[in-house]
Amino acid sequence: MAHNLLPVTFGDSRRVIRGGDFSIVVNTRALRVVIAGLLLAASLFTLEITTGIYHIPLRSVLDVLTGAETGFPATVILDWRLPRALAALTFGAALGVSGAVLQSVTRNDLGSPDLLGFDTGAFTGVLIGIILSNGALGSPAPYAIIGGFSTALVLYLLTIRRGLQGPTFILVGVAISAMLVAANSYLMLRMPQRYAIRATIWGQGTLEQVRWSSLVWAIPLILVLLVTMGFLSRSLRQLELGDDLAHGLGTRPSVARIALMSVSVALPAVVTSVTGPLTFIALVTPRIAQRLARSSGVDLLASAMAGAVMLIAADFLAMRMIPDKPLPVGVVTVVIGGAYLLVLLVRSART
Amino acid sequence: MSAVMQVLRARDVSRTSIIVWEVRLPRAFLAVLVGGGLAVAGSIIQSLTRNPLADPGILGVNAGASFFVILAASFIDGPAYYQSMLFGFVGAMIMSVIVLILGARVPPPTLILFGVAIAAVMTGVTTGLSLLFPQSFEAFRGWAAGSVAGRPMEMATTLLPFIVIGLVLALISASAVSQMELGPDMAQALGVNVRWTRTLAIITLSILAGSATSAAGPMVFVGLIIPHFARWIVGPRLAWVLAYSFCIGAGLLIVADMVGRVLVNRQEVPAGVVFSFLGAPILIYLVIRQSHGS
Repeated sequence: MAHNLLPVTFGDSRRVIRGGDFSIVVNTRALRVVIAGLLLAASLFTLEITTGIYHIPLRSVLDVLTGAETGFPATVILDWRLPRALAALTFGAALGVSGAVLQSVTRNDLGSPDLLGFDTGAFTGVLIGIILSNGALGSPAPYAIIGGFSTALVLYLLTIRRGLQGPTFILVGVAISAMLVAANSYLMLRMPQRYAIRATIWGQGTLEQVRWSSLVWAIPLILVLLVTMGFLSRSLRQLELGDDLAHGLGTRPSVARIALMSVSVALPAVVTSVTGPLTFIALVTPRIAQRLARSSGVDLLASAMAGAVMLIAADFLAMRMIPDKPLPVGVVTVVIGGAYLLVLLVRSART
Repeated sequence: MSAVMQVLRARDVSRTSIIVWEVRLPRAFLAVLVGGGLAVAGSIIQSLTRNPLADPGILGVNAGASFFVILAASFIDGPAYYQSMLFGFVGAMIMSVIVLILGARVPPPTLILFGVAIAAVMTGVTTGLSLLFPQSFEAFRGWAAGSVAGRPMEMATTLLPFIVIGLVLALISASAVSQMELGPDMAQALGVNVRWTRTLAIITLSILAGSATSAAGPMVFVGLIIPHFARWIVGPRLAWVLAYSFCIGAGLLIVADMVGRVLVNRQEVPAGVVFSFLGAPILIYLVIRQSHGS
């Protein structure tokens, strides 16, 4: 059989930016993708803020933001729509980055926090918190983070002999996730009715209940985690070359891996503590980002962008798909993500 | 106990009689049929896919069935039990055909992820539908987690013939299916009509899993762990595995149902939830053991 003769490519177009004793290599295609993503996110953001049952033209939005308008439109925008849209963007970015890093560290397209049960575990933590504090839970984030980390730790200990990079890791994660789903429904039955109703809505993953009171700590926390991830991204690149080479380049693989995993467990945990488990965003977006940016490994910036666009689009769809019947965004993401997972698996079966 | 025996012998209008006949008896009866049916379906699908991790619940067969049951509820106004069971059968059948086609091509672990994906999509759509049309899904509350509570006797009596037919078909096809475990080529060489056996086994499996699911909601893990227990006890002969699976499945689902009743004060934990909680560690054990073997 004749070989397909492909034109020789030298990778993506790159530019080196130099200034003084500082220089970085920029993947120009990825940069273009990020810019396009920013524009898309901005337009979805505007759409989410201006439209709805109560339509507010862009001009009055500006009036509200500058403080010229303080009536009902101000309440709608400042208290309801703005926090929701902001949450969609940051949370989406957090999930995208977390998924990208986990998939890279486990070297598996399926290694995402939702499939491995980290979201579910974080939610278990929140439910336990609600029961322990008798419904007066100040901030659910610590419980969510403890829940997420315990899940990750159990998974790590159970599969320690087989390593992170194999089907066993994913499957054990799926099983733990199934067990936690059962535990969550048990916990919801145990708590008093008045919290249980809210927890049930929450359990489907929704941005409906996002308020400033939770965003004031969630958004800074996520930004800190994202910046930390930015610093760690160098060792992520090196790990992609394999442990030996990474070691040679001055990274200690085991330490780097634990740091990377920790941040990518914490990110979805913070998101889950506000919205409930928003599954499958983290699974889907890194692959899309990688495709669009045509990068060799994961591209964190593009993944963050794709996650943000994906979540705000899904939320918009969930709110407006059926007039007057808003759905929780988790319902939309689970269907999109599940369908994507199916395609991924069927394709892997074909080859 | 004596009071129970008395009302069983002569049904009357006393409180005990009503509780026994209308609440407890249908519940126990359903647990036997559903638990047994799913366990037998599990043994068949494990043999057919030659995958010890297979289970109609995990592989999405039950999710397919429940999706079709929900569809029936949206199309037919107040579907009769037999109608939703027929719909469940069709859904289970479609899913098991897909699972088998895929199962021949991918390694066992990937097949399970496939089931996870299917279940995710189906759950999402089902949740969406139930939020959009709350009235028509009133009857399905508590159903989604897999439960045998609060069903009338009529449902159990409708389920009975489905399960009996399924069991008879399972026993008829047992020897051929067990030869399929050697691989289709070997089975062919041994004189098994591969295509016919496969079709029969899929129909059997779909009757059992589809009707059990439409009665009790999607249950996971029942069909996974019980065949393993049965094999530990009786060894690999499929006909015996089927018989033991039925008994153990029936027994364990009753136990899970009872545990669920006493776990929380004045509230009931659905048997399906109890089963997931107990079954998941066994799945983890099987996965880790299998990966050490390979």
